[in-house]
Parts: sequence; structure tokens; C-alpha cells
Amino acid sequence: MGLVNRMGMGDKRTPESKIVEEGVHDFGGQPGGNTPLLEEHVDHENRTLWGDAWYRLRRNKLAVLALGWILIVVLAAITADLWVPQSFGDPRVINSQTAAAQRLLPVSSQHPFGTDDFGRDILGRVIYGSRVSLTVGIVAVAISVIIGVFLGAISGYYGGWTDTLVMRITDIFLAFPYILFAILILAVLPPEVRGITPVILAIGLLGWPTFARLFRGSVLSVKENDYVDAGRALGASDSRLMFRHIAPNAIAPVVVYATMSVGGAILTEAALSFLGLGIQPPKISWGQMIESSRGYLVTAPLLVLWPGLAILTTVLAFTLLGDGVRDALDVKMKD
Amino acid sequence: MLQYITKRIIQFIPVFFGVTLALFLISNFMPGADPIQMRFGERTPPPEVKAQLIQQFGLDQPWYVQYGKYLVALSPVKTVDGAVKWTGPDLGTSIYTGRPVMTIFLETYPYTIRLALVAIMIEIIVGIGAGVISAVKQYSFADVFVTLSTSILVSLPVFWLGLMLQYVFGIWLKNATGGAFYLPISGASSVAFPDWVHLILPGITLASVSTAYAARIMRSQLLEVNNQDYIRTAHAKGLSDNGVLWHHAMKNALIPVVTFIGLDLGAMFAGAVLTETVFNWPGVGFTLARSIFQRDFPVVFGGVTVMLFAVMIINLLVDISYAFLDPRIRFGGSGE
Repeated sequence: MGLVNRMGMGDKRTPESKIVEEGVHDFGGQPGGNTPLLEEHVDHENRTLWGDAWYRLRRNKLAVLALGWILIVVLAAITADLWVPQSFGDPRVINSQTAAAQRLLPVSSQHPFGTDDFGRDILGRVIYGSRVSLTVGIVAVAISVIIGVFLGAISGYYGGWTDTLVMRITDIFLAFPYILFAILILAVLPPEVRGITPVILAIGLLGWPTFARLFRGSVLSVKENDYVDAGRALGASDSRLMFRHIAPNAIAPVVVYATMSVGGAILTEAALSFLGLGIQPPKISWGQMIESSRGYLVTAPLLVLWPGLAILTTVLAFTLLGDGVRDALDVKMKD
Repeated sequence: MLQYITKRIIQFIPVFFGVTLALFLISNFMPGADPIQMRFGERTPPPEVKAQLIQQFGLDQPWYVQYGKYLVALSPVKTVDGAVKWTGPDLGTSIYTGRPVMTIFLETYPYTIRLALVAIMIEIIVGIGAGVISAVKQYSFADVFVTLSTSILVSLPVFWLGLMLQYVFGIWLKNATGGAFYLPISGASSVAFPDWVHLILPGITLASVSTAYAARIMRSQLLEVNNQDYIRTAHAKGLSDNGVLWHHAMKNALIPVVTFIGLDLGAMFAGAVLTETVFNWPGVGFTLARSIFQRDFPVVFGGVTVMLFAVMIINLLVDISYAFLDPRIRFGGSGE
């Protein structure tokens, strides 16, 4: 199998033998190994696990569509300063001269989504709001992943009392509705401190237990593999075993769940801002836009409609991309 | 079984102390408005009144003394005048309203439970139904519709769905029918409608996301079970498709769905903060959210305590129900 060869010191490739044997992943040809090439991939170049997943992801129409939408939103968020104020007037400030005349205008070519109660362009506000949503979604999940993977790795690799301790802490976190915890943490903050940073911290610090459990379970099953024993027998240190041999094969479920969680974090931010605990005006976020226009539901429902659609489409894109990544990496997960 | 239940109750102890201690620490070391001041709104209370209230609620004491008092009050058995008596748990008194916290939750819980039961019924009927149809007719139009709509539902902000339902059924429909037909969008009762009509929109809103998850789990479980040997055997011995589905496949495929719905019921007993806020539904979630803003800590701690016990009891019941659904599951193993 060329097992020892691939496990050897200085070898840059990730160990894949076990996965190939079990048929969990089908890889392309493996240089230097004598594993037979799997037929359906004969015509492709040699690929790593991730290259193979990327290839499969590209063939999934829904996932590509979702990725395209995410890229559009990201691009709009990054470039907003260059074109939004010029096209629709600056949606971040109230222009006291035009506010009254521009108030609650219907949809038009000048204002594709109409204007809000202060005469600001709603499309522009939705675009600026995407900055907060994307930042919260990505940074909060990154925090959860870092903490979760670290604790999950220790817990799964060493076992014993560290494992018990970490798992009991995750029990505490998971026993209680996540959103209530976030509300409690943010509610005790004085209003002037509320904003994007506490929201990111609250979501990030509450989200890690699922990642810890996921990665722990994954590490537990991967560390039983022969190639890990082989690595240990060859004198590899704990950290080398963890980072070189175990983590690359155990991380896939975390990647899938992280993709889906970005959408979840965006939803949580929207909910917290809707409750008045998140982003505070004049800063713009989608949830905060819904909160501040809730009173116009009878007279101007479009004010509530647009930011909600922005949340829905963006979260849906992350959900579909997550599904795509799951299928591409062939990770078995509970729905 | 008894051993398993005991083990689960023992496991609950660190969870209970972890959550309540964390809350005490957060509320004591975070800066913020003074809970006594909140009771007086914009007015300034006379210093002696304020001092008396601070003393009455023990706010001048260090957090661990307050925590100890909370634990003692919570114990259902206390020593009264030297004799040990059953007094029932005491959750303290609301700073904001001066009413016993227990009374507040005894009043609000029925609303939350009513809403939760409606939502769970929708989950069971619509969620399981859609999942079964979707799996039985895999790749049909119905399947694509269910798969797509569940993806959309799990990506919806719940509060936004609630607002949109309010607009469509409470405002647009009312205008379109000249006020003849519409649904109530706020509160739990009114003169214009019987009480159950008030449950419709909040019930749908609360059920939406979980119904979608239930349908997805049902579908994927049924598809998985259908690939197993015993299903092929059942077909081979001449059972009808319906017979196989209801007598063989469903029994196993339902287990994860029941787990999910059970855990969801537990979560709903902790109150649906967002749904209850959107619809001004006077349940525990709404009460708790309001108390948090009023910094009414006794109500917050009391509410969290009640929820912890509610969630734990429901989760335990869900676990016990496994044993009846799946005799393969044996309790008392390592549990990991």
C-alpha cells in the first residue's frame, strides 16, 4: 500500500489509505502509490482530497449558484463606498434638506427598493447592511471553529479527565437555548457598549460546543487508524500526529458545519439586532433595519420586506453551499 | 432503567450549577443600569426608599451570598422555626413589580405551553407528512418542492416570517376583504376572536423552522432505512408498499424524528422569545425578554431556573421514550 512510504518523515501528503480502502472518498491516482486508479477519475489530474471535493462542488449547480450569490454580496459589501452613495445618495446619513420630500418613496428607477422613513435609499442601506451581516457571520464562526477545534482535539486525542471536563462544559452550553444565552449576555451590557463586537463575541463564544463535539468525534474515529499508529511507531510527536495525520482527515465535518453556521450566525445577529441588543443606529444591519421599520408594517411593508429578503437569500446561499460542501466531501451528517 | 435515570439526574447537577453560576457572575460583574432605578423609570426615588429596596433584595451583599440565598430559597424543603418543612421552592420577588416570581411564571407558562403544543402538532403532521411523501416519491415534483421549501424555511429569520404573516393575514387580507376576514396579529385574546384563533399565526411562525427540519430528517431517515436488507426481505415476502412503509420502515426511521421533535419541545418550553415578542404573546419568553431589559434579576434567574428544569425533564422523557421505540437501545452503557 505504500503506507509507510506516505507516512514517512518529510512527506507532505496527507494519509488517505484508510479512506480509500473504505471507499468513503474516491480519489484520483496517487503518485508513487500502487493503489489502482478508480475508473471514473482516470481522466482527471491527480488531486488531493480537497481538490477532488472542489471538482465535485463545481458540478453541483445549486452550490455554484449559492457561491455566486455569496460572491456578489461580498463584492457589493466591499465596493459599496465606490458606487452606492453616488448612485442612490448616501444611505448612511439623513439629509435634513431632502428627508421630508424623499420620505417613504415607492420603488422607482432612482430608488430600486424605495426609500425609508428618513428618505434614505433602501437598496443602499441593504448593501451597507451586508457588511455587518457578513462580518458577524464569518468572524463569529471563525471564533467558534478555533475554540471548538482546539478543545475538541485535546478532548478526543488525550481523552481522560480533559475529555470529561470539556464534554461537561459543552453539555452546559448545549442544555440551554443558545439565543437566550446571547440575549442575557448582551442585555446586561449598557446600551452605549452594544454593537458589532459584543455581538460577534457572544455568537462566537456560544457557538463552539458543537464544533468541539463534532471534531472530538471525528478525532476519536480517525486516531484509531493504522497510519496513526505507524506514525507514532516512527516516533512522531503528539503535535505532529495531530496536525499532520489526524486533523487533515478529521476536519471535513467541521468545514461542512462551519459553512452552514455562517448562515446561522447571520440569523442570530439579525434576531439580536431585532430585539434591540445588537447593532445600534446609525450603524446599519439587516436585523436592525427590520426592527426600526417594524412600525411601518401597515403603511410601508416594503421597509420590512427588503432587509428580510436580503437575510433570507444570503442565509439560504450559505445553507445550500453547506449542503454542497457536505456532498462534495462526502461527509455523513445528521440533517 | 432506574440506574439510567439516576445517572441523568446526577449529570444535570453540574449543568444546573454551571448555568446559574455563570448568570450570577455575568449580572454582577457587568456594568449596566441599576435594577432599582429601573423600577422608578425617569423619576429619582428617595434615597431611604432606595436603600431599603437594595437591602430588601440583598443587592448590597457579595454575589456568593446572593447565590447562596437563591439556592436556599430554591430548596423545596426548609427549616422553619427549627422544624424541617415542605415549603415548595421559592423563586424570590420581582424587583420591578414586587410580585412573587413563581406567580409570574405560573401565569405565563400556560400561554407558552399552549403555543408550544400547537407548534409541535404542526411539526408532527406537516413535518412528518411532508418528509414521508418526499421520501416515498423521491425525485418527484413533490420531493423537489419539499426539499426546496425546507431549505428556504430553515434560512428564514423567524421574526421576519412572523411580521410577513402579520402583514399578509392581518393587514393585507383585512383591506382586501373590506375588514370581513382577517387573523389577529397581537396578544392571546380579544373581543373580536375566540382565543384559539390567536394561536394560528404565532403557532405557524414558531413551528416553521422545526417543521422544515423534521421533514428533512424524516426524509433522509426513510431513504436510509429503505436501503436496508430487512426492508428488501419485507418486500420479497410479498408485503404491499404501504405495509412495508408503516410496519417496517417507519418504526426505525421515526426514532431520530421523535428525538428531534422532543428536544424541540424542550426548547419551546424555554419560551419562544422571538415569536412571542413579534406577536406580543404573554408567555415565558416574552416575560423573560422584558425582565432582562428591566434588569429584573429575580425574574430572570427564576425564569432560567424553571426553564432548566423544564428542558431537563423533557430531555429525560425523550431519552426514556427511545427504550419503547427501539428495544435495541440498552441503557447503562458508557453513554458516549
